[in-house]
Amino acid sequence: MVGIILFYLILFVISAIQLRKEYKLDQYEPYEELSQSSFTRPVSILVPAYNEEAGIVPSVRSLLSINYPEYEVVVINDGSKDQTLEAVIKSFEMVKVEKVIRKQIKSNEIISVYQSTIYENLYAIDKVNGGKADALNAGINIAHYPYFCSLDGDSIIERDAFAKVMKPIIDSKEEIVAVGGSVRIANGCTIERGEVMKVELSKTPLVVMQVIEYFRAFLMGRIGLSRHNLLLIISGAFGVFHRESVVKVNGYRTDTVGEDMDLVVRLHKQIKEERSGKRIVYVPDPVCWTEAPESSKILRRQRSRWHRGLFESLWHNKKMLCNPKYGLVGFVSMPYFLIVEFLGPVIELLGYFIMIISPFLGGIYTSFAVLLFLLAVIYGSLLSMSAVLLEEWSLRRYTKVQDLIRLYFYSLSEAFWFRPLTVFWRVEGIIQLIRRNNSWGEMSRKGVSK
Amino acid sequence: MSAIFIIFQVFVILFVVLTVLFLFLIGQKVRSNRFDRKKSEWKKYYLEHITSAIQGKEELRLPENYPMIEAFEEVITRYYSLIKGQASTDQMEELVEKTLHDHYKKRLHHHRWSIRMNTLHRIEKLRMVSLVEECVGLLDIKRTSELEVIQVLRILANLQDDRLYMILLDEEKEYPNFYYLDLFRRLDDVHLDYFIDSISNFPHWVQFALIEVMGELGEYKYLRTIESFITSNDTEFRIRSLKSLVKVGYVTDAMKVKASLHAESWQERMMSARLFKLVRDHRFLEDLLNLLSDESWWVRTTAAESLLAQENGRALLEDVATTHIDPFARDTAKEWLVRRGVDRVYR
Repeated sequence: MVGIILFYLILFVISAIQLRKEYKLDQYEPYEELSQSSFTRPVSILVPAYNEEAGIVPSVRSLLSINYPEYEVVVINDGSKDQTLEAVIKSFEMVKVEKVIRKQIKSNEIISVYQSTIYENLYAIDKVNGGKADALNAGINIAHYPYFCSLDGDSIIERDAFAKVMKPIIDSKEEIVAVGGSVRIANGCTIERGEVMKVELSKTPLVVMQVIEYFRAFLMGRIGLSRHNLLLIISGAFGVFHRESVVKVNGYRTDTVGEDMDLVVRLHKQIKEERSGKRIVYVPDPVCWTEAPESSKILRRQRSRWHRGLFESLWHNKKMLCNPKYGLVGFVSMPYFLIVEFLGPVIELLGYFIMIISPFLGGIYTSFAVLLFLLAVIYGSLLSMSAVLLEEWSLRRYTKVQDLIRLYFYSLSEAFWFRPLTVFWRVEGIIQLIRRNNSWGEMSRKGVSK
Repeated sequence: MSAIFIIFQVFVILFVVLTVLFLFLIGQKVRSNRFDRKKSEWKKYYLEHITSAIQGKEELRLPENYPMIEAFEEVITRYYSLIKGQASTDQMEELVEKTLHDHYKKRLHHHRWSIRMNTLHRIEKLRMVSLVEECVGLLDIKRTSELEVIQVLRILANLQDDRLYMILLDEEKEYPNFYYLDLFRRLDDVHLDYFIDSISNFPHWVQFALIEVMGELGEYKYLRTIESFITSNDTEFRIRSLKSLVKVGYVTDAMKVKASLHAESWQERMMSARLFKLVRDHRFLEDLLNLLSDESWWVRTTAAESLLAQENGRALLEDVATTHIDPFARDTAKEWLVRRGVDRVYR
């Protein structure tokens, strides 16, 4: 436990230094030339959609207005049972086109391809249902450009986001295989026509806790890990990938629940195996806004699903674990994810259990319980409080003083209610694994943009 | 027992540290919000009065404190963005120099990287000639980062400064291609020609950028230089020159390109095939037809697109679509017949 806290502290320091370097860099200036240049790398934006008739048209509309010179949008209708495809075809006046599809990655049958007559860079694919990973693979097959970006139907990308995310690729002379953009929670923010107008904190406690979690995970874990090419997860909501590299590793795997992480792990593996020195990086400034679950029921499902996905990625790539051939990823990242992230909840649960029983057992158990309690509070609350302060010190997205205060005090409370909840849900995920339960569950969508 | 004590102490220390930081950050935030409010007010003022101040119709209140400086900076930078390309008036330049010269001079040596970068961007944008020497001075300082160097080079390029030539000639470090292109686009004809006339003196990465820029500009006078690279021994040079020719849309001697249609590298085959979409030449029909069965999808589809553009291209493709033994060739031909050569393919 202490070792874990130490590890986190180190990560924290590394990320703090890195974030501070970019402190106060003009938001607008350095990216202006990128967004107007004809030399920037074109990107295909893939939007897999299943039963998203409520929000798909505003989402696509916001994508069509982003600030980037050359890109295409490919909507993939994964055999929706509602009017998703029809809504898109109608709103954007699309017609069917003949297309030779390069089947570089296996995917379920593509029924037809449509192109918009008013936006020539907008395409839609209608295909047989196969799940998100399968839809993405189909999209990759159709995509024309050397880079693609995977985006959830209910996420909003900031208009200037692309330039920021592509900048590392442009600066790097093509050795970057994937870039992760940070995801922020949109609940409580004012979003109009695809643009984030005001960044404010939601009133719902559950959402506030998730915001804090994202701070924690994104700011610390990803930067610390990204700097040394240890980045393991690019969140499903937003990531830009080098198309050829993804084709080389056979795209997304369809038989796992955590397809994003799985892809990144396999990309890491590929990089190490071919000794190309290529990298996967991360951009800290928030770029993608997504809707977080507001009810505990849905959050619970999400958490247990994520945890199952984590295990599946680790298991599928177990060859990399502690294998010197895979460098730091094999020696640091994977063990970290296995022991801390995956098994951690089990240990924490045991801890809680001991804490509860010990008053009845007395003696050394009580002091042990107090010890555990303190550690739990440090690991839970204090670390989150640090993440909140780190965000404030470096990125400052939430301008209201009130919001900062709320974030701080909520994070203080984390160890006492939210963390035990997530621990419980994640252990539930493990139990489900043991029972071999593989499903996404229903995610009801409210639609984020007006 | 002692373990608890230690951990407890750690806990208390951390907690105290965090609380102190928290209070500090709250204080900073309150101050910062106040600063932003003042700045917004001044921005409004400057936005209202700047146009008439530049025209000399009124005296502008010069910035005396930081909120005013930042407000002024932002307004004037936006102004310059809007009038991009057009010459700025003497009054504008005078105004900018008067207000910002000293401030920026100090900022160029600030210890924080982001502030230096912002300053360089602003100097470039506002075309502050008076600070050029200061900027060039940065090139010799060790802590100057790659991006800062690039920014200084941009400033030099904007001013058509001759030092750029020597710097690029001697610079051993290779910067991303994107930035060289950006630099060369800022040079005027005369200065760009200095580079092009002695192109082979430069490191190969600069040569690539020059070849690409010549293609972008598309002028006839560059053709000879670009074409000299088609027969290079280096594959990459050949590919780049072909790409450039595609942009220009013309080639003086098509026979030179013939070898590339059968090259080992698929990019070379694709680029040369693409060239023939614009340069209709019946001598190469057979080569293009062969490329319809190429192992690379990109080559096949480009060959089909080019064939369609030829005289009798439609008829040729129809023939392929119905009678060719290779199914890939038939598919590609079919696709392009339906497209009627209108759709876009990534270049």
